[in-house]
Amino acid sequence: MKKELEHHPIQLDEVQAEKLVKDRMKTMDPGKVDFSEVFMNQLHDKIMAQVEQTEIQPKVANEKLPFRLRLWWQKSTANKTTALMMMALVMVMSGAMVSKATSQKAGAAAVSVAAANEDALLQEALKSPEAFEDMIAGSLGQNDFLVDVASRNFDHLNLNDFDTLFGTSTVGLSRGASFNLEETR
Amino acid sequence: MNNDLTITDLELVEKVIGGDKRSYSTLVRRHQSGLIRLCLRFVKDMDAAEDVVQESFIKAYERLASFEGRASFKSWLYQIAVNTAKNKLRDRRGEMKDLEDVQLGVAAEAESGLVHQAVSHLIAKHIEELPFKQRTALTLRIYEDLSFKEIAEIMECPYDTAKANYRHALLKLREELSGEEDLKNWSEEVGGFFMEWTQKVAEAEA
Repeated sequence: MKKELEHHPIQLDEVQAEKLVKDRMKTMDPGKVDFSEVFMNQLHDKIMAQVEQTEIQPKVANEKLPFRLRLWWQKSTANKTTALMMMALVMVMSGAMVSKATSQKAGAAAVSVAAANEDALLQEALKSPEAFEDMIAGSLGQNDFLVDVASRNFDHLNLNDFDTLFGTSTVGLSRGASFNLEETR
Repeated sequence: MNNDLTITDLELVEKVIGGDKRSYSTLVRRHQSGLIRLCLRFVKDMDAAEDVVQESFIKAYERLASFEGRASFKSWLYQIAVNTAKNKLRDRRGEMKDLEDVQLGVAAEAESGLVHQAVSHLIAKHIEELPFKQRTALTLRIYEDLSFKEIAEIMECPYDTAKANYRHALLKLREELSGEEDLKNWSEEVGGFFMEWTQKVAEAEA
């Protein structure tokens, strides 16, 4: 520190000037008081008499924020504008996090419902393809739907399920088709 | 009287926490005179200063288990004392004591000359009128010779804030004292020191 100050004459001047101020103020110190030994002994005895009747309180964990954290917070919020900006930032960030969490939750719920519906439809189709064909309306044909379902559930379909879904279209392919099917996995 | 200076405050604190109350007596003897001087600067009344010192030592004893040694025991104790004195002053607000009425329980150091006494009292009066934080920083720096790091620990504020409070206190004091008629007869050497100091600070900050 001293070395640093040697290279900065202005700072050294400041230190010397401060020393001068301190010395002068101390010479004018109205509170300079000498206490007698008797007075000090009496004060000590009074304090110790009270200490004898006092118990040390158990340590309270996390009673306060750690000193450095408090210093950082005090420093950061010393300026009102900075404090307001930090509060606004925290509010915006919390809002964004809540919104993201909500949309993720809604998305997951929708995927889950769609998967459940698809499973139910697949079960219906496997049970009775003809009845299922009657049930399907609109521009989507039976085969379009079944190919779609088959492609999504490819890993879980066995040959019998495949044959059930596509009926006669796979007749004749039997083993060869299933072999190829296995190969393509 | 066991006031062995080879034992550190921290070691004494550990002994007290371990059940040795006598070690606290050593801590009291070590710090009571500094503490009562400090308290007297805030409360201006010997009885009140004694109360603050006793209360501070008892509070420190009660909370000893929470003392983590990040700051020195002295800084921690002074922090408790400054806060206790502040509360005392808050309680007593409205019954401001005139400095001339202050009755010290012990003999004050012999004052030499009426001018010196008048100047001393003027300085004390203006220090007392400073905002509490500035007054604390000034008192700890000038009269207790503490570093800004220690002052920051006692005042529970950042280092720069402690320094700024001290500087503002001195600048305000200079402003107040320069307006005092009584100080016009003060010797030029003493009267000019604030001017010199603030000029140097202004140069350093430019």
